[in-house]
Amino acid sequence: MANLGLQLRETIRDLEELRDRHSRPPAHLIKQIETLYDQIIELINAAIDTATAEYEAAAAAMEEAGAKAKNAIEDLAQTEETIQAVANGIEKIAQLLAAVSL
Amino acid sequence: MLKRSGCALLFTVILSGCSMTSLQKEQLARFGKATEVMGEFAEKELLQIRRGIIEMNTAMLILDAESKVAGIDLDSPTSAESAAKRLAAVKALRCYGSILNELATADRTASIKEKAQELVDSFDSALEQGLSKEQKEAATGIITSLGSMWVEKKKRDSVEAIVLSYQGSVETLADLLAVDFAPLGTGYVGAYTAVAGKLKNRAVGVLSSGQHSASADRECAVSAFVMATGATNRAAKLGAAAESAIASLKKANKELAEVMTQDTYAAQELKAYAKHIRDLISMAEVLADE
Repeated sequence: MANLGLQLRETIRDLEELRDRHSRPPAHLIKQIETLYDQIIELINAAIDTATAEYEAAAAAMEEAGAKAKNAIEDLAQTEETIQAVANGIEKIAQLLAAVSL
Repeated sequence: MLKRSGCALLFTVILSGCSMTSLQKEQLARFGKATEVMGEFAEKELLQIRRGIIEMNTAMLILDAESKVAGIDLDSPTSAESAAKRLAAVKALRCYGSILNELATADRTASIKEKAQELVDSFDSALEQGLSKEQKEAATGIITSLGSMWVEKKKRDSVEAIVLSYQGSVETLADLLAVDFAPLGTGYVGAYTAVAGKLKNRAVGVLSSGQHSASADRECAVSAFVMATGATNRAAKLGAAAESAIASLKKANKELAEVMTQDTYAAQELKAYAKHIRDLISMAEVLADE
């Protein structure tokens, strides 16, 4: 079963490496990393049911973002593409957290 | 006269046969001391982690000129209530170690009785479901029986009863502690790591934006960066050492039952546990100096 918390932390670690490769990291990337940390904190506080479609979708989106980040670390030109994938992951986690707080 | 002396000798032999062997006492004291130290360490660290989170959230506020003060919880994602629950759990662990150590080494029955009562009170508030009647009786049995002349035999009976009936509860407390000390988990150290990562990222944002040329702004960002980096390293090293120590506590806790039921059982996990605790404390001391 997918572990969203772990996937999220791995993606953040890759995004931080990508951030540190840039002499001047894109502001949008820094903002996204901050949002992902906020989402980790929200996940820590929330009781999440891992057997839901929202959870699986969020974990899959975050896994894809992590894969893009790994490629971008090798080729900084792929940073923009990574930012798009991370945005998608953030949206899926936001949907999951919204479903929990309903 | 000779018959009376013989009876007295036989009585003494029977009594000494019912008391703990020196090997059992040594191993019980080793487990008790290590568990007491583990409890003290966790108590101190959990408070330190909470203070660290408050400091880092404060540094984050300083770095973000646009953040609104209203509605900000400086201790988030921890809270006073969750801290109190965790402290009750580690206090229970410390009390457990303390009473076992006392039963193995001390002659003063008054202090053992006092610790027995403390053990019951601390476990009762630490466990959600409280203590069972059997568990309470295992500890309070000491209170009523140690006044008798059969002290050594009663000590052994008490230790056996306590070890066997508290084994499961100690396992539960160790599991809670493992969650709290996992650097990438959902407990206290996991929260501390997340807050540190967020602060470091915000500091990098300020330092790399080129917009904060005032030296005071840069100084704040550099201080935040150093604080967050130190916290991340501390959490990783301490978390790894704590993880080994907690896994070892669980193994030693299981082995303790063998120690108490077999007079000559030489416990290997107990030795390893004591070593892991020494390593953990050394690591905490080194990190405290950084």
